Amino acid sequence: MFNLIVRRLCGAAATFVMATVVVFGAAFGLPGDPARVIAGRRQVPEDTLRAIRLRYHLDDPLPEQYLRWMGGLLRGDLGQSYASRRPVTDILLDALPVTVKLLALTLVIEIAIGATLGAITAGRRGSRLDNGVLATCVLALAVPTFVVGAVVQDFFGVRWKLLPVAGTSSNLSYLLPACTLAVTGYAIATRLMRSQTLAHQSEQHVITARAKGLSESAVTRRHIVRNSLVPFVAFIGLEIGALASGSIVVERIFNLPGVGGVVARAVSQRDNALIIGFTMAVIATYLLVDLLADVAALALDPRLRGVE
Amino acid sequence: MQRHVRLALAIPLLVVAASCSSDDSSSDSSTPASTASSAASSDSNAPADTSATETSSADSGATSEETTAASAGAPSNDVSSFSVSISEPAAIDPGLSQEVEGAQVIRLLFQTLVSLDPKLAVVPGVATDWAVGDDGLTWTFNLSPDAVFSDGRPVVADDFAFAFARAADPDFAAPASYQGLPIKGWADVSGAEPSGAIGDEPVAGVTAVDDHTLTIETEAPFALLPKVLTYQMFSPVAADYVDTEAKAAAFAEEPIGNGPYKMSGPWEHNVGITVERSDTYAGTAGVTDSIEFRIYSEIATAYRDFQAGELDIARGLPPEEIKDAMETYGDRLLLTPTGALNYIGFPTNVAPFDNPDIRRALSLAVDREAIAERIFSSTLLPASGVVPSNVPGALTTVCDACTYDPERAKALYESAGGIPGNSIVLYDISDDGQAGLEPVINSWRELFGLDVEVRSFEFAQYIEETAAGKPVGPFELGWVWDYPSMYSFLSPLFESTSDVNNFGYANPDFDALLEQARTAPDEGAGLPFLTQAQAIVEKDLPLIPGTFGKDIGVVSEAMSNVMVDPGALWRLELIGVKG
Amino acid sequence: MTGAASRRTWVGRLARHAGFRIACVLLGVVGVFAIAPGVVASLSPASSDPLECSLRASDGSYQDRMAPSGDHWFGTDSQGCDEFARVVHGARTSLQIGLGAALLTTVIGTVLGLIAGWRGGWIDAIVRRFADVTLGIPLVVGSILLLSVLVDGRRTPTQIIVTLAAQLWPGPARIARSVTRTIVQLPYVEAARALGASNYRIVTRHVLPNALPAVIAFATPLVGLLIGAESTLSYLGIGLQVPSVSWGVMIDDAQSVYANSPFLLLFPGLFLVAAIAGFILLGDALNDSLDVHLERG
Repeated sequence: MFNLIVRRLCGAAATFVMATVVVFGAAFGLPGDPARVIAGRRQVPEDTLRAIRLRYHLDDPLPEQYLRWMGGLLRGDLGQSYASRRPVTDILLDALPVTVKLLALTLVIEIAIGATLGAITAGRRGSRLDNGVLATCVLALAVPTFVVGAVVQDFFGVRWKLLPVAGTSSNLSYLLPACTLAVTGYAIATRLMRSQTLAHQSEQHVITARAKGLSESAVTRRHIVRNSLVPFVAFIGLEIGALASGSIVVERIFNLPGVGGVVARAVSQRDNALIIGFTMAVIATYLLVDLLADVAALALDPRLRGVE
Repeated sequence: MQRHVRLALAIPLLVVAASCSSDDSSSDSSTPASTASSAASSDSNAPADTSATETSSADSGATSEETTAASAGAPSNDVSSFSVSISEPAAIDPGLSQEVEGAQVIRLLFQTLVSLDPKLAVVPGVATDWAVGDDGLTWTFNLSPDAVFSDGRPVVADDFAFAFARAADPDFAAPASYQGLPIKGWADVSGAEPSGAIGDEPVAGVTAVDDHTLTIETEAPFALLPKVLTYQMFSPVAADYVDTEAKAAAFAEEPIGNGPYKMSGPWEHNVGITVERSDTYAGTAGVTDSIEFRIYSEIATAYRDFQAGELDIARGLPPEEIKDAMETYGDRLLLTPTGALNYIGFPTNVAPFDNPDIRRALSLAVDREAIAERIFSSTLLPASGVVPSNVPGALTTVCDACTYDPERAKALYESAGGIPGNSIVLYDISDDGQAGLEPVINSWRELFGLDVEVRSFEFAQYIEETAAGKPVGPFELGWVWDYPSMYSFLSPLFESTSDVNNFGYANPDFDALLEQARTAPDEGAGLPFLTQAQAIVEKDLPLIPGTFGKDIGVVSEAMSNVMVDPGALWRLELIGVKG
Repeated sequence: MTGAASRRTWVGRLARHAGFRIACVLLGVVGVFAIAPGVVASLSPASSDPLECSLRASDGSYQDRMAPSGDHWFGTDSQGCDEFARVVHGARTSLQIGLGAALLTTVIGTVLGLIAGWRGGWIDAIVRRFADVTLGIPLVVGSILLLSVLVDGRRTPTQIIVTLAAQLWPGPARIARSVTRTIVQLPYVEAARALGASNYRIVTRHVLPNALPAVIAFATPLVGLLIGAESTLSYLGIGLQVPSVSWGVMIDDAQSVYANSPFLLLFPGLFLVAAIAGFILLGDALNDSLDVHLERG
């Protein structure tokens, strides 16, 4: 198992390096002079642009810029934002707590509701409840996040004034955005839990357990739920990657000062340093969580250790 | 097995990937640190009388009120203060600033050699008087001996000479460096190879004769120099405030200036900036003790805070809220015309746009009034020409082809031979919305049967795609003056030698008039030439004037003597708080 | 089980599937809009041209957004366009992008997955790494990068389709790879290989037919999700642009005036949801009826 983890770690590192090349190349290979970004949203004479290119080494060959950037990365330095000249790490770290709070709350909501409903409906397959829940899942998958956000904000925030509409003035402010973001994940989690539970119900060890005379609830708890949770770990791994980008839409709607807003601004300003820093951070998180999920799955389900 | 689980998951996860992606544009992430009301912010029961004024009117000064103690709701101190919304500034170091949000703060922290009064006339700043020599090249500024930085250190001529050298230095790469180009020797410094040290290369034309005398020599006679020097980049900076990298970084977060206010603490990014009255300032003191800038990423959020009574001044309003706000707030809603022009430009050297009649026909088909009124809820003004009509000396009449006249447009279009293939490419900046462009496209389609293909780019790339000689069709752009003068519109946009003349426009008569304005004995004497030059451009029409800008804001009832100048700067130092 | 029998079974299962029937109704409506938008739009008294818009009434006075009425069934938008005509025409754009992008995604993904699964080794490793990198880059950041590189500032359905497919191919690639790996190891395929059957023959006879049900079951809901992706890109201002008529663009426009004119968000939103839900239900139904054995694959 140790070897397996080391192998996966090396794989993740290789993927990361490949990603840096791809993202760096894409961002700097883009048409559009980064010097103009630094000059601000204004048309400035060539002379000023030249000075900026020199100051930021923008005229250097791309491989040289890449190596300089990688050197910085190893020292924990992601460079300076073009638009504000602040260190990229400072900017991301400022915004990180908001996004982490939002994502944590979202995960809790979608998994709590999804796993519960999934397990319940699996037990009552074909019932009215089952059909109703499945219908809400399809609906949840079909309604785009930005529509959910607008409607939820209007009703809960503006019309009924139950919850804060925007900003982060209190912890309650995170509730609406997190619920909005959780809608899609809820559907995925419910469907996943339901299908997993159904699959495990007919498995040999469950049948054996029943035959041994274990009560139905004990069977559910010890055998079905526990085994259904294994894919959930993988779900969380993939979901975090997806949510990290999903928060961009939600942070925009609810004016949360999180990482999503930062990157939104960076993208509109073509702030390469910030875009690259953010993208690398997301990829690193994604790879790390993926890795952890694999390890966790191995720990939860010894049968997997033989695979690969 | 884990691999297969992922396969099953891959489908639903796409939804997340798809519907949760990143963001486009105008929003940046920030929010106020606290929503607590500032000490003296509007008490909802405050007396209803307010002296906020429509600042566009000629006499906008209104009554200056005495500073009063904080309102009853304030905690146990008598410090007056108010809060005002801004979006996260790009910089508050004057050398690095080039936009209005940063300028809003910097103008309180710094005083330049000469200043602008609320009507945009040049008045003394640190310099008590100034004069230009007979050659029209050498300007002498006499500095006030009373001027000091907020830490008590006197402001001397060297501090200006250093600030200028710093702004010109390619190592510093000031985004607005080009503004200094009229000064002799500036281009030599800014065009040199970077040396690694900032501000080490003096600008040849700038000389500190003694502590209180500064001379500035220009490359050629330039009557508008004092106006240029009012720009925030020309604020004084003492060399030892920024002589190490660490000090420079600290200065960028908490600059030390010579203005009526000083920083109360470092800039809290995406949260706020608080300034307090500086005791060392020798000029007219700021009226209110303390001003809190709250940083918002969305004007809608700031406006909601304002409505909730938690913000005293909301700068900017969502267009769809304007109508209600007018009824609710009356004259506490301020709409101030500013020096901004939005236009659709033509590549005048590309057929068929080299034909002035085609340009006029396309312009006559644009319903500016309806666009300003219906699409932008009057937050913009229909443009009457190529220079906003509030700029001193600008023509106030509506230019001949700047009206909406479908019949004439059709006739002109046909007599000019129309556009081959009935299709054009229109360039658009992708991140600022297409609502204003859509009616134009619809109207061209309806009147001329024109098929419009839109190409949109991010701003930086856009500027390259629409640089002179490149675009094959009309392009949408805007211009904001660098300093309040017609010259700041006409010279950069239309002079044949300008780097940023994207139209490929060249008219010798126009160029000659601008040269006359530069060599006039002073700005006023040059004005008539600029007015004539404007008339020439409006006849040639290298661009379709679309709309003029407006600054919008609402203030609470506690605010008095509110003042926005046409440079879209709120004169916060003049604002008082009623008890 | 013979081929004919199994087909009858899954067709029969499909026809009895409740989700399938609902999907047929939803997609039927949207499909009719998309196939003949002009005809449907001309049912209402207002102009059937979605681009015939005016900021002024016929008497020259300014005209505000109009609420739904007998003349304008879905009201008019900020630009003075008939919302009904736009919703109907928007169906074609959405389906065009959804179907086009799903097809392209599936083709790219299946081909890459087949190659990776068939060859294994370093090719497999590279494809998997690329898939990981692709999945790690947020869709919007990636879309902006791609749209700037790929196109000349044009954002027509073709550009959006390419952009989306270039980022979503890892899904079908993983399925195709996994199916291929399994099949390659089956005794009769190994036997066929040993007997000298050509790669092409094995792939077309054995691999593709086995991979197809899984890929189709994957691609069907993908159509819906891609329709949603287009609307999200448009909502964020990096998708389609004027004069394209699409539900995403319409919803984007409606956001800022939602408080006064919620119907502008409601109508395009409703049809958008109907289309996406239709494809998801259809995908579920296919998944159940085709009896896709991914878990054991």
